[in-house]
Amino acid sequence: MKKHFILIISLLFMAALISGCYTKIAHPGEESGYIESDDDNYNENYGYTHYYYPDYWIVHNNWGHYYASPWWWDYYDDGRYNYYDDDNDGSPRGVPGQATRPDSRWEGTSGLDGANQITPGGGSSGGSSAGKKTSTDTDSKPETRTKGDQSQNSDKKSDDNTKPKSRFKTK
Amino acid sequence: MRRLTLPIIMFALAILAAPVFAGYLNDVNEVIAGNQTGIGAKQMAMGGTGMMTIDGTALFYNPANLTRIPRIEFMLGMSYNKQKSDITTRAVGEESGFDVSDSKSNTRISSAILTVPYPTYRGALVFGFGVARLSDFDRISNFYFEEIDEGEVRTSNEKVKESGGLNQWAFGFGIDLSPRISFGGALMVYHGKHELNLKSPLYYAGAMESDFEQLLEYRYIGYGAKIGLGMQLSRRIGLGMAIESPVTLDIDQDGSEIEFGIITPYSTVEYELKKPFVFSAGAVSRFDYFTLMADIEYTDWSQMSYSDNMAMELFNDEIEEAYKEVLRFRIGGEYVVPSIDLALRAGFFNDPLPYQEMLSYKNDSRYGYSFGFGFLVDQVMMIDFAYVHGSFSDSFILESPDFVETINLDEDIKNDRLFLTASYRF
Repeated sequence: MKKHFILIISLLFMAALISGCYTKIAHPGEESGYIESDDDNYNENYGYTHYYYPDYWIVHNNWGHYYASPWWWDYYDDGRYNYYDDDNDGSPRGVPGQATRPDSRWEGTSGLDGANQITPGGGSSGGSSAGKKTSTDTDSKPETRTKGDQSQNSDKKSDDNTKPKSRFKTK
Repeated sequence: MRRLTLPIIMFALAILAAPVFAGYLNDVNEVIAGNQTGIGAKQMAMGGTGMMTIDGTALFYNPANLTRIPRIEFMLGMSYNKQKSDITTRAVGEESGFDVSDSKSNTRISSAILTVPYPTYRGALVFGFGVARLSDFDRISNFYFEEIDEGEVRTSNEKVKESGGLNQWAFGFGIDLSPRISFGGALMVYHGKHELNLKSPLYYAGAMESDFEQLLEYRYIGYGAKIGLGMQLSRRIGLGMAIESPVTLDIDQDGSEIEFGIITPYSTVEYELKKPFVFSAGAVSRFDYFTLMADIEYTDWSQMSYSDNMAMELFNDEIEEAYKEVLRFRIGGEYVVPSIDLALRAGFFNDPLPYQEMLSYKNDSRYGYSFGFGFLVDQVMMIDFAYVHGSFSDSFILESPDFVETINLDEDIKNDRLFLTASYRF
């Protein structure tokens, strides 16, 4: 009975942690996507939470890919973070950043443009320091959007493909 | 008559009770206590520092740091362990005696860990599942001494070969509680086997007069849990803490002995061994290409206890007297040469034996050093290699009415271990 009690308490504790804590998990497949952060959380996405990244993870593409690039980024960024090009039979990409966007694994992820500062190869910021946004307009917050703005957001991406993209849209 | 002396001194409790004997602490007594093989070539190359590690081995060291793994990772590890034993036995006060060197080695798959980060847009949630070799029981002990049997002085030999190990299966998770704090937990299942083979031939005038062999087998299964915290105090400094719950091991023990071709089986003994809490902490400091890590771990082994067997529980007082609390210390460094995808590592560790010293038993602290390297291959695979050298010495005073004289036994143990780990991140 004592063992069961400890197990139940442990499970409740874990459930409380997961349900209401800082970490917010993505929900692939939901129409609204898993982009629910607001502007205030803009600097608290995956990359910023691990802000102790050594510089060489950023400067050297392969170390950054190994230690700092979440696997799901491969499926909805603009392709700059993928070493392998899914649209080219999986062959290694000759020039990082020139590939087309791979098909998204998740529903509702088109137009993801939140910023992540960990940019293998340095991104447009030159990659000289960790914890900085790659966008050239680093002082400005991303444009606040509603869930219904996805089409508009997509349009903007296609017009602005040369600039570093934010990965996460906001409500 | 001789069969009632040393074998009984060494193993009577092992047969009937447990591998604990306050008066004579043979290696067999350290099968569980203070016996850690080490997990992960990267960690072992850095002296065994793993509390702030950021690969799949975090599942076993500190589950909170699973959150620092951004990609699905599969890790497979192998280890090679060689133990060399130099034992000198001589009469107390004498300079000359018997010197015997022996060694035993084994190569095994030591770990397999799968780590899966769940997609997040803030923080991190990472799950891990795997198995790792917690303890190696591979040992050898070989020495000679003289005793009086039926009025004649005879030379006797004791050779103990041990093998097996304790594996640790774990399922755990790590989750970010804030940008700087992560929490993790893991449920552990322990499973393993320890085989002990004692050969004790009796020599008279240089010829073997009789042979005696004993086989013991312990089968372990148990469960426990571990929780940990990882904290990033500043960009360069991180701290981690973990608590491992008491582990209850169910032990089944069988055995038999052979003499003059007659096999005598022992009856099966079942009991529980409860390992105490383990408290550990670690720190990491990063300076561009250089990373420094240090771990400490505290365990009060005198709190081990037997249960579920009345005969075994009688020995709990002896455990309290024979074992002591231990603070392990480990430090290691890594220097990365990113332009050639190479990481160079080295470390030092102090791993005191968990036994109380007494008049008839002395030991030096167990310590060692390590070094190794890792290659990042094609940005998706890390191959790590480590060499670990450890050593300690101890001495016993053995007394028996059958001995010609009181025996002084000095033992030097050296361990050389190699670790190879390959990690693939999808």
